[in-house]
Amino acid sequence: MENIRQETRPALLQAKGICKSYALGASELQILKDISIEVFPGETLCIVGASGSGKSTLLHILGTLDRAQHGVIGFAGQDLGALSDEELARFRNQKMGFVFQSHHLLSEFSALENVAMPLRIAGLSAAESLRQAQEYLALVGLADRATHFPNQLSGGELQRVAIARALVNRPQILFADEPTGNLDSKNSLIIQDLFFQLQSQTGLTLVVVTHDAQFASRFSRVLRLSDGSWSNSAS
Amino acid sequence: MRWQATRSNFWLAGRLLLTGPTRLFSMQGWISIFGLIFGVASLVAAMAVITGFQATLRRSVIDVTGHLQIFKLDPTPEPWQEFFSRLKRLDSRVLAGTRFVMVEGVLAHKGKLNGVLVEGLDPVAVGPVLDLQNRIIEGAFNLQPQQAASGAPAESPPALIGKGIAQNFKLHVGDEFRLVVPAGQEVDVSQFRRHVGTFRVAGVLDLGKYDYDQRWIVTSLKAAQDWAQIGSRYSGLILKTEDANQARGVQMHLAGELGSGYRLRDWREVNENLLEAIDIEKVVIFFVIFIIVIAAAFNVASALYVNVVRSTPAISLLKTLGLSPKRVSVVFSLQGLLLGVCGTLLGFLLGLLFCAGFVFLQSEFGLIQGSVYKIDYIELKIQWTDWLIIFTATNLICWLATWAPANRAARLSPVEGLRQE
Repeated sequence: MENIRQETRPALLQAKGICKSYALGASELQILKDISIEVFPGETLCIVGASGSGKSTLLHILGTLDRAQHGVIGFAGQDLGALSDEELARFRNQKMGFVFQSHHLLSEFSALENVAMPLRIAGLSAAESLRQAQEYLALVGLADRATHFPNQLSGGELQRVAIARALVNRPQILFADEPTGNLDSKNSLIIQDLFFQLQSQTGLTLVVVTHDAQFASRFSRVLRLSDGSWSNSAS
Repeated sequence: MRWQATRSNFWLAGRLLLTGPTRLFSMQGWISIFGLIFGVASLVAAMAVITGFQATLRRSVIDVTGHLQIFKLDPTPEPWQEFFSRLKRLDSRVLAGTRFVMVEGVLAHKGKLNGVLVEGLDPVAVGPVLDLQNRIIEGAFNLQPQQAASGAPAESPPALIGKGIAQNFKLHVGDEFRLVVPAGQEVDVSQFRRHVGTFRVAGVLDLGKYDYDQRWIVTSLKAAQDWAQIGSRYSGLILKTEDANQARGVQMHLAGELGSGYRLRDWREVNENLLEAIDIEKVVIFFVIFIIVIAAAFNVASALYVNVVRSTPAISLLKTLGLSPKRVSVVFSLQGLLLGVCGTLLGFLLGLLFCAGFVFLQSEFGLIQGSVYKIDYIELKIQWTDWLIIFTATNLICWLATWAPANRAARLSPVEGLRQE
């Protein structure tokens, strides 16, 4: 297994002994069992596994969207478990980007406004936010669709807008949870290409959860999760 | 940074309220603030009526009785100018004064009798003290007796009568009527002599207060003294002070300086019970109607609560993008506040409409029974302090009522909403 690599450079993201379970009446459903992982700057990491294996839960915990019952998460040497909810929110806004299976765009906001949202949350002015958002829309090839609303865009375009939104704050790490799961093969390929093109351009760290074997094969490292633990059958 | 976050919170709250998934300004949003609008409108109209009632009554009392009355208990005549100068020296807040005679009598006309209060006033000095000129609704404010042509019998002295008396006795300008005053024998007060005086109606007064209009007759000081056969004696002085609200202070000061032998009463004391009752009524009515506003504010809160549940995916996404729980709470509280402000402002507009309706009904159908409410017409008064209190209290309640939904939004886990879609 390559979840802990022998590297000399420090890890960007480090998780040790992550455990997560949900209460189901009197019993407890263990989702993640003592998971440890290191993600290094600029690498592309793919987490694969069957449905219910705990991939998304792990991604949420690594992305600070959820908290583990046990374990430690560090980012560039900083203990994220010690941060308050307020500090974590600011941290996410500045350092992390997210793309999900569903685009999760706000339907009453235009593509440009959706992309600008993280910047507005960060406190930038409307004009500056929109200017930067326009740049990132152009980066994903949708400069001419800025004023379009989500219901006027195709599935592939929606996901490209979501990618632009994830990148607009210039994060150090991008988390993607089944980003091609809702797309046909043609659009899936476009999105895959876009991910790797942007990664090579910006050098950001990419952590993607997918069950698409073809997509997974393009990553520098692939980890398999099975029943909440790393599987020995590494891809 | 704090200012930038605040600006961004306002932007988000406004955008989500107007166009976002919460879409509070949909039919549901409007229904939720209807109660607030009607509650605020009722409050505005009720306060305008009560404040107007207070102001109308106060003006009526001050116009008729002046700011301060001093009754001389000692019947020894004292030159009134000297007395007035002494009062001015004692308290510089005294601006003007006039002597008056107050006599209770009986009006007799065409077989009907009614007890009346006859006030004799100095036609020249009364101007700066009492505002009776503006209360004339028929005839003219003229208390100077007309000079009869040589040889002709002297004309009856002019008098101004309350409009109630004019209606009851069917008296009009130029009509004559008789006033009877009982005068006690010096040796035996149980035996009365009658003094009958004939007066001519020079004008009809709308004194603004039912009991004044039913009983008040104003004539010249000389005519009153002659009719009551009291020589040059007068009942006391009516004073005007710098400010009606200072009258009580002047009263206390002068009472202390003058000592016994005088009775002083300010305009408030004339109708103390009524004015105090209205003050209390105003507070009670405010709180009773404000309960409607509180109920309406919870309606807004419940609409907001439903919206928080409906908007869970959007809230989760915003949290994923870095909106902190505290700012989520602020955004939703701001939404409640924006709804509250909107409801209050619309309530103010509707309240003005209610006031206009009240004025129309009052002038067309005589809503107010003078015999019941003391006055038969209320000039509505809209005080900015009333509006400020209503605005602040309503929006404070809205802010508090939205705490629960805002808190729920803040506590939502980002993952919870992301899984819903």
